[in-house]
Amino acid sequence: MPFDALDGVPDEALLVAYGNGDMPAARALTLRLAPRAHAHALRMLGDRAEAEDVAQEAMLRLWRIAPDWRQGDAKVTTWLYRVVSNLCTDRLRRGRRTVPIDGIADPSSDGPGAEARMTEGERAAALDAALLQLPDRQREAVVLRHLEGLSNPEIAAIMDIGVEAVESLTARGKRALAALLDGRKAELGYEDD
Amino acid sequence: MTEGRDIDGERDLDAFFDAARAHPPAPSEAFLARVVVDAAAVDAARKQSEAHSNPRLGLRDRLRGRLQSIGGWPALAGLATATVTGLWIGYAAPDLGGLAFGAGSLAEDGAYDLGGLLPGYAPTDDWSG
Repeated sequence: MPFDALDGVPDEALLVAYGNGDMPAARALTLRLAPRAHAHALRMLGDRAEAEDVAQEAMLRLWRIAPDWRQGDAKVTTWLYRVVSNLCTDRLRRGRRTVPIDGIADPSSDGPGAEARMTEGERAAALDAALLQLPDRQREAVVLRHLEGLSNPEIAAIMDIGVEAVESLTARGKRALAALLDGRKAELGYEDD
Repeated sequence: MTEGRDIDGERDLDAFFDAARAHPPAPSEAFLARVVVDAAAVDAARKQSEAHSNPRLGLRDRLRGRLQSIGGWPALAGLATATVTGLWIGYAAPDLGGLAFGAGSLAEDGAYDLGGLLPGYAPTDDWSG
């Protein structure tokens, strides 16, 4: 079955299909979920190799529980983020990551609008760098809320805390981010917007 | 940090969040390939595990097939009834009374006396009709 035929199929249905031996469903789920798991792990750990290890392990656990998955029990994304979160927490407890996120846009890029794109890419890189300076729980709450677009109840389920605690972590994280980024606005072109 | 500074800070942050969402970290092709390979390996291991459990299922299938070959459960019930009845007859040894097929049931010359068994029968030597 072609991937585009699976576009409208819910994650839960694809997972059950894979549990019944449907490999195209697994490939569609990989393209949907693995980049999100990887992005979250990268923003939590700040290291691409470790982020790929964590995301691969989380996806492996997803494949293993597929035959036992019951539609309607939980959202696959919530389950996956929770596994990624726990794996990242384990690694962070073993040793704080110090390698900064790479992948910033090349400032020497040519072509129309290259400068504007570079500025936006630099803003993204500056945010990622500032996020890594936040306490782990604040960083996770801010990333899940403002970059992954999850609701507070979903974040509460992922982080195993109450909704009020999520709101508190997010608010404190954003205040800290604003302070960290305050001195870089002119440098990054924000004040020209 | 004042309240007004917080509001400005949040507005500023939206631009950073927008930029970060527009530039999500892209996973490598090799990473995605490894995830798919894992999915295939888990699926293959699961199918192999199911195949290993098939001999038990095969035994059940074979027993079911043999049962069907003799007529299914009704036939098995009939067979059981016949077996129990046979055992009962053997153990109860019912009295057969005057029915005896031993000495005296045959004529002295060893031939059956059909007259005794078939009263209407009249022996004749004329076979021409």
